[in-house]
This record gives sequence, C-alpha cells and structure tokens, in this order.
Amino acid sequence: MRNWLKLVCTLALVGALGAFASGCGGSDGDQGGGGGSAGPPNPATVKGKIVVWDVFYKSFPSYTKAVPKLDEAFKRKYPNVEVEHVAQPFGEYAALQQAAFTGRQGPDVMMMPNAGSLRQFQKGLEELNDRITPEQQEQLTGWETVTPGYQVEGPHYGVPIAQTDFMFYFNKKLFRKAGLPTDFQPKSWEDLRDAGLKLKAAGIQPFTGGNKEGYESQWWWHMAWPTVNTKEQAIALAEGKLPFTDPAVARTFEPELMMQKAGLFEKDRFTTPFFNDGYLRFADGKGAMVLGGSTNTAYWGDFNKALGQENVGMFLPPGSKYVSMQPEWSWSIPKFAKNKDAAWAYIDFMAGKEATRMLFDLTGELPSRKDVPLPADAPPQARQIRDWYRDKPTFIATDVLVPSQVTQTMNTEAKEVLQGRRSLEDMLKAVQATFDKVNR
Amino acid sequence: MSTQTVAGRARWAPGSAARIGRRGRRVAVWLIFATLAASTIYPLFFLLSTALRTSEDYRRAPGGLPHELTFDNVQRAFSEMDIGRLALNSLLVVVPAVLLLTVLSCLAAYALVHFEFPLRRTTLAIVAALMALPPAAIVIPIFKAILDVNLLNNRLGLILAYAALQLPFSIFLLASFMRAVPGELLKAAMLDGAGPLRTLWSVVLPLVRPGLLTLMTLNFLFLWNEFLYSLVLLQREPERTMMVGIGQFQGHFDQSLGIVSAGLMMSMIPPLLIFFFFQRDLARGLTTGALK
Amino acid sequence: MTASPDTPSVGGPAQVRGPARGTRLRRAAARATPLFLLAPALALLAWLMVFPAADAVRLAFTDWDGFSDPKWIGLDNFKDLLSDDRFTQALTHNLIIIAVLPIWIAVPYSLAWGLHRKIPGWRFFRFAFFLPVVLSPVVIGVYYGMFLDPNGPFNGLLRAIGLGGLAREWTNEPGIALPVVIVIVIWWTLGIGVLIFLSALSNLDGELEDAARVDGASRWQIQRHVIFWQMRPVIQFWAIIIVILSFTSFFPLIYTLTEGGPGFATATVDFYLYQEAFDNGNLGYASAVAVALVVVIGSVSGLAVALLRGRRKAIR
Repeated sequence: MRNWLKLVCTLALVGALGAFASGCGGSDGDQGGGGGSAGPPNPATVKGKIVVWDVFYKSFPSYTKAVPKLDEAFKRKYPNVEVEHVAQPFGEYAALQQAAFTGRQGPDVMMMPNAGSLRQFQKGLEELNDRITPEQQEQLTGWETVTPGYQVEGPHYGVPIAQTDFMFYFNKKLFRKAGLPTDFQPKSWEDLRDAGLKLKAAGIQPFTGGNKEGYESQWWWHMAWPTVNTKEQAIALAEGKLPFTDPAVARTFEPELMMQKAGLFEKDRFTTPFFNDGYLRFADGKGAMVLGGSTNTAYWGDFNKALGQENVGMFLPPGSKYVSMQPEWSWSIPKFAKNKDAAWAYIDFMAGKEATRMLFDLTGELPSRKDVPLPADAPPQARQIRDWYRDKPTFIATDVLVPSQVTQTMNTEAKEVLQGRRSLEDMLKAVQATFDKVNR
Repeated sequence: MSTQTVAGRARWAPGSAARIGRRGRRVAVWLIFATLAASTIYPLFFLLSTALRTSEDYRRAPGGLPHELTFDNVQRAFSEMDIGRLALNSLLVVVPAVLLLTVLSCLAAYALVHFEFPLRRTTLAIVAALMALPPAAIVIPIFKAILDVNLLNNRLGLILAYAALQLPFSIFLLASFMRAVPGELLKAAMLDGAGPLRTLWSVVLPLVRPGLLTLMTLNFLFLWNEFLYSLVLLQREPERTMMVGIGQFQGHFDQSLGIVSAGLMMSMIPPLLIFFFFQRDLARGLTTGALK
Repeated sequence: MTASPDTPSVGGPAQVRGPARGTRLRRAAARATPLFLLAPALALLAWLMVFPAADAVRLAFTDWDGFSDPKWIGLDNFKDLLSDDRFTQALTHNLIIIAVLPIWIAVPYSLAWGLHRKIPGWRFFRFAFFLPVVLSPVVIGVYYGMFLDPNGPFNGLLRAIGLGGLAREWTNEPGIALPVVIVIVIWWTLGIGVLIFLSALSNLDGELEDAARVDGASRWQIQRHVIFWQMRPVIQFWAIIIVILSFTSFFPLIYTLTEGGPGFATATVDFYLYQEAFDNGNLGYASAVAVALVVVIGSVSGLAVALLRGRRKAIR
C-alpha cells in the first residue's frame, strides 16, 4: 500500500523519461506525391488489391445491398483488381481516419462522408487533378466540396458522388384533414409555423423527429441559412470572415426556435434513443411533417412505400436564395495509399455513367452526372428534386462547409438553446470559440 | 446448503424478544436490498424482452412483457450483425491475451515478491504507477508502436496491446496473493533441489489458485468489453470484435431497438458464463488482493 | 521418460543439490533468476506502456495534428490548458465524481454488512449485486439510454406508482445528468466493492468483537471502533481502485450514455481527451490533457491514501 505514495514520484520519473525521449522524435517523412497518368485507367494494366473504407456500407440499408453489385460491376471491367470493401463504424470514423493518417497506413480509397471531413484530413489526401479527365470535370457536379475555397476549379482532393441534401416532407392526407392545401408551399417561416399550429389544433403532431445527437438542429440550421443569407456569406462564415456572433448568423437559428417555441416538435425530441424513430413515425402517418433526406434514407422512396406516392408532398425552405445541395460523399485517395492506380480506377469507375445509373436504381441516390437522366418510371418526387437541383442555384449546405468540430459544438449547444437553458448569444460565442480553436 | 440457510436465518433473527420497530427496520432494509437487486436483474430481463418483440410492441409498453414473441431480431442479429463471427473474433483475441497475461504476471509477481534484487521496490512502484495511465491517452503511441512491427490488423497486435494494458494491474493483484505464500515453503522447496520455475509451478501456483482465477476472470471481463483499442488496431471486418461490431451496428440508420438488444444480449453470454463459473473464486480472490 | 539427473524433482533427496555444492556461478545464476522471470513482462511494459507514455509526454510539448511533424512549442499547451473552460469543466466533473467517494464506500460496505449478517436471500443478493460488473459499458450505456428515456420504463414506473411528477428527461437535464451518471457508475462498480468487503468481513477477528461486547460496547461502537478499524486497509484499497477507475475507465460509458452531454455537463477529462485527439485532431494538446490527468490522478490517490492513514493514527 505504501507504494502508492511513490506514485507521484514515479509519475515524475515517467515525465522525465518523456522529456528525455523528446530528442529522438520520430519523423516518418512523407511519401512522394506520385503523380498519376491522365485519362481513364487501362483495365489491362491496372492490377493488385485495394482496400476501400466506407461508412455508409452496412449503414444505409439500400446502399448496403448496392455495394456488392457495384463492386461486381467494377470487377467485370477491372478483372485484375481485388477490392476489399470495409464497412467502418459511423460514430468513430473520424478516430479511425485520424489514426490512419497519423500512422500513415490505411485504405487505398477512403470515403469522405462530407466536405467537413474532407477539409479536416485534406493534408493527408492525394491531389487528383492529374487523373481527373476534362470529361469528368464537365459532367460531374459538386466539385466545390472537394476543392479548397469551395471553388469548382482548383486542386481536387476527391471525386464527388451523387446529389443530396434535406427536404421538408409532408403528409398530404393529414394536411387535408387539418384543412391545409395539399400543394402546400410556405411563403415564409411564419407560414410554416401557422400551418403547424393548425395541424396541432386538429390534433395532429406537426413534426416528428429526434434530436438527441443534435443532428436535426444542424439540418434545420442549414435549411434556414439560404432563407437569410447568400452563399458568399456561407463561404465567409466557413473561412472565418463572418463570425458566428454576427446577427445575420443568429437569425439562421430562429426558424427552428420558432417551431420549438410554438410546440410543433415532439416532447421527447431531445432524448429519443434512436433518431430514425421520427422517420418511422412519419412513415406510420403519426406526424404531418418531417425534415428528411432528399435521397437514399428517410427520403421519398421510403415514404412513398409507406404512405403511398400520392400522399407524399415536399417543400423547400420558404424564400430560399439558393438551394442547399452537395454530393452524398466523395471518394479520396490518401497519400499513403499503396495502390494508387487501382484506387483511381475504382474511383473513376464509381463516378462513371454505369455506376451512377446503378446507384440511382439501387438506392435512389440522384445522379451527380449531368449526362445520366432519370429513368422514365422514376417517381414524381425524384423528378421534382432533380428539377430543383438543376434549375435553381445550388450550393453546399452551410453545415457541411464548416469543420465538423464546429458543427459538433453547435449541435450540443443548440439543444440547450432550444430547451431554453442557454441563450443564443452564449451558444454562438461557444461555437465561435471552437471555430477559433480549430483554426489556430 | 440447507443447514447453512438455517444457520443464516438464526443469525439474522436472534431469538430475543422481537420488537416491532426492529422488525420494521429489518423489513425496510430487506426491501432496499430487493430493490437494488431488482435494478441489477432488470436490465437482463429488459434487453431479453426487447430482443424478443417488435418495435411497435416495444413502444406500446417499453418496460413490460412482450405481447407476442418473435425471434426475428435474434435471427437478424445473426444474419446482419454476424454476431457469431464477432463473438469468435473476440474470443480469438481475448483468450490468448488472458493466457499471456496470466503467464507474464505470474512470473513477474513471483520475482517481485519472492526474490530480492536491486530496484525491486522501484519496479513495483513503476508497475503500480502504470495502472494510473488512462488507456485513451496512449492509443496513438501504442498504435504507432504496433504499426512499427507490422502488426496492424493482426490479432497478435491487439493481443499484445491488451496484455500490456492489463499487465500492471495483473502483476499488482497477483503480487498481493503471492505475499500470502510463506517464504519458508519456498525455501524448503528450493532446498529440496527444485529450481525457481519448478517451485513456482508446484508450490506457489497451487496456493494462489483463487488469485489466478480472479485475475483471469477480471481480465476476461475487461478485455471482452474493451472498445477503443480494438477499433483502432483491428480495422478490417474479418477480425472485427464484438463490442466494435455492436457499436457499428448502433450507428445504423435502419437499426431497431430489437436487433441492438438481441446483439447486446448475446454479447453478454460469454462474460455471464465466466461469471457463473468463477463467482466463488472471485469472491475469495478479491479479498486476498485487498488485504495484503 | 527417464528422469535425467539434471532435472530436479520435488521428492528427490535434498543432499544431491544441497547448498554445499553452490558455486560462484550458481550464485550468479540465482541472482539473475528474478531478472529472467521479470524480463518478458518488463519488455512488454517498456515497449507498449512506458515508451508510449513517454511519447505522450513528449507530444504534450508540441503542436501536432498527426500529418506534419510535431512542432515543439514548449509549455504553450499547458498554458492553454489553464485557460481552457472545457478542461476545467471536465476536471470539475471528475472531482465531483470523486467527492462522492464516501457514498461509494458506504453503499457497498453496508450491503456487504447485510450479506455478512445473512439477510434472507443473501446468496441471491450477492449474485445480483455483482451482475452489473459483468456488463460492458456499451450494454450499460444503451440500456440506460432506453430505460431513462422520457417514455421509457423508469418514467413509466414513476407514473404507475403515482410519482409521475418526478418523471423527467433524466439524461438531458444539466443539473440532473451528472448525478444520474454518478448513480449509474456507482451501481456499475458496486459488485466489486461488495465482494471485497464481504470477504474481508468474513475474515475478521471475531474475538475482538466478542471482547468489546463483553466490555459493554454498543453496536455502533463495535462497528466503529472494532470492525471499521480492521477494515481500514480494505477500504483504502477500494478507495484507490475507485479513484483510478473514475479517472481512466468511465469514458466508454459516458461516450455511449450521454456523449458528454447535455452540452458538456457529463464530460470527464478522459472523454475530453478523446474528443480533442480524435474529433478535433489536436494530438499534441490531447497529450497535454493526458499528462495533466495523470498528475491529477497521482495527487488524488496520494491524498486519499494520506487521509485514510491519517485518520487511523488519530484514532489510535
């Protein structure tokens, strides 16, 4: 027992050891950039094995079923490449990525689930401009997510896949019941609130959802952003030129607060153990509106199946200056990747016409290629979203622009504000503090 | 068993005039015990019942009994989570790690307790101090050390990391058991011509058996439940262990409470079995550890 | 299977290998024995514990994001630490958890006492109290997430017994979440304490107790001066275990149960460390947090030992 008193001394000893060891710091040195050859890869010469890290595989049900088929199609074109497609846990993906970059060992192809993640690890990613063909540059949308400064031109650290964001869905049946129009398109946030109150008065739950993790607040925030600010302001925010404490930023949190104050959300919004419960309830017809995905999961496809195609309505945030839209993810190659040519072959294939079409058929991911039209039998909701994304000005959702650490702080803080336990100013200060810390 | 119970009763209720106040107090105490026990048994019941019912059924009465039983969740846990493979993977890491820990800590504790050598106490103190290292603090350095020897995504890498993480505690615990072995026994054995290893094997180890079992049980429980190191050191799916697999499944967008519960329920089976078997040794072992 | 003359057998004649035959070589070999026994363990510890720990200490003085080489910045991380609200908050939560140490000791002690006095059903209770120890943090986190859900069984129970007014969002109210977490960790670790105390109680010297009773000591006096006094080393042992556990091992539970929330209300230092290292990519700063944490653990356990020892002297 007495040894415990020695503990402190020993710790000091360990500390001294550490200071001593500081002399022999390990510097592994960067592996060379290794510029690839331009143009599409040649299936005859590309060979070897690649490891693909994917957080949506075995996470989104439809995508999970699609992955083996997509990989098979790739294999048909590149018979000499072996693909190990690894599903990684969503919640701890950042930890795994951090470890991989720190140890300079990991996958050949890495999924970047959003622009924030790409930015966080950009320093460890291969610049792909030498490999990207002019045809790809022209046909694909969403380059601004994989390029510093959110530009379409510039060094690309990944290749964008699919088009997605969030949509407000409503149940036309319940709207009819509450005496609301079934072609409901709110002109202002107040409009939306009043509709919610009308639903509530009719005994209908206006919104369903779950916000234990704060994701829903994040989505509400970025839906509200373009109704107040421009995309230039979004970039200014992401680059630190527009502080979070600015009144223009504060106003973007007000729509959700307005709905919360009007009591339009469910009571257990902040504690539902699993956030998809809200979607299930909407699909069950237990709520009139939900903030859902525009593709893939908790989207028109699921709702159409549960409620009937004719009962699923959609609207955009009222008075938007532009529409939030970005790739569902992007594929990147880490600098440490061992088989970069095969990795590029994989990415090139997945961004091609065949894979893009397959992806839509299997998962409802809207094609990110301009030259891939929707099939003739695509449901009206898919067409409507595609039209919106094509005809209206679009830009990356604001929450995707800012570093993920910042949105994380925002998510935890927003829950406190929504529950009236913290002021909006305090929250914005805390978010700004995180932002400063990330960028120091 | 029965005699013990009778004796127990007798002790609990001394024959003297039972005053009502004392009796009331005793009932109150018993109720507290019972409530606490209910709180520890209930999770098993809750997870089991949630695993055997549909989500709709759960939402109707979360705490109660299922309306109708379904094995759908269990089946899906096997087919979608591949819980059998996860369990096997965990065992393939945890069992070797526990064995390795037992061997290493036996040798080390034996040396530290029964031999005199320079810096002996310092070594003990360092071992004790290492217990205070938060595992989360050294993941990255350990990850790099494992990378350097090319053991990333190799079970051996995780086994070694696990052994290192639990070694200070194991040596410390075992040392306290070894102190209870009288030095004379060892001297006698050595005089009989037994070498140090032979003495350890045939004299010391039989005497510290409860300690060994305690150690193995605790290490098994701890390592079976470990998450972070397994996540970082085994990054591929074929080797993925139970807790990481379940953690991954928890992030799923189509998950239901039922499947997660079924997975959790099954993840508890090996530790529960170990606990059932070694309950008594554990009870004995922990005290010796505390008293020395 | 003939025994070679070199293999010593336990039953063999002592004279054959008596001390008389000891040579200088043999003595040297004997001196080297502990080294051989220790070598494997020490090698593993040095490789995967001491050097990584030293590495962490070195990194604490650097700015490192994991990509470029660590940049030496001296004490800057530690200066930042002092003005870091998050760190202070997390540390405060840890210290609050430690502050309930008396409860953490008293609860398992009382339970062990009841079991020791053979409360009806004690075997079952002994088994039941240990059950949570077997459960993984993931199981406990997910279970309590569901159990304490506003529409979950616990609030249901409260409503059923007419205490519906008490029902609340247990893991989501800033003032309540931390106490809830503390209750859960006490509940989780209880079993070990009960087992330790129980076996210690059964090893007590009964004569002392009898002597005290003959001297006319009250039950409380016996408990306090005779039994508690004998139990002190065990209590000390338990206290140390809790201190170390609470600083190093609750992160997985908090991670699954509350993710440090609501806000930052249940984040502990090891949770913060993980967040800084893996979510924020500040590996150097996270190492500084780790170093600070280890210093705190050292001081707190030293303090706990000193306190418990000091009281013993006072009583004597």
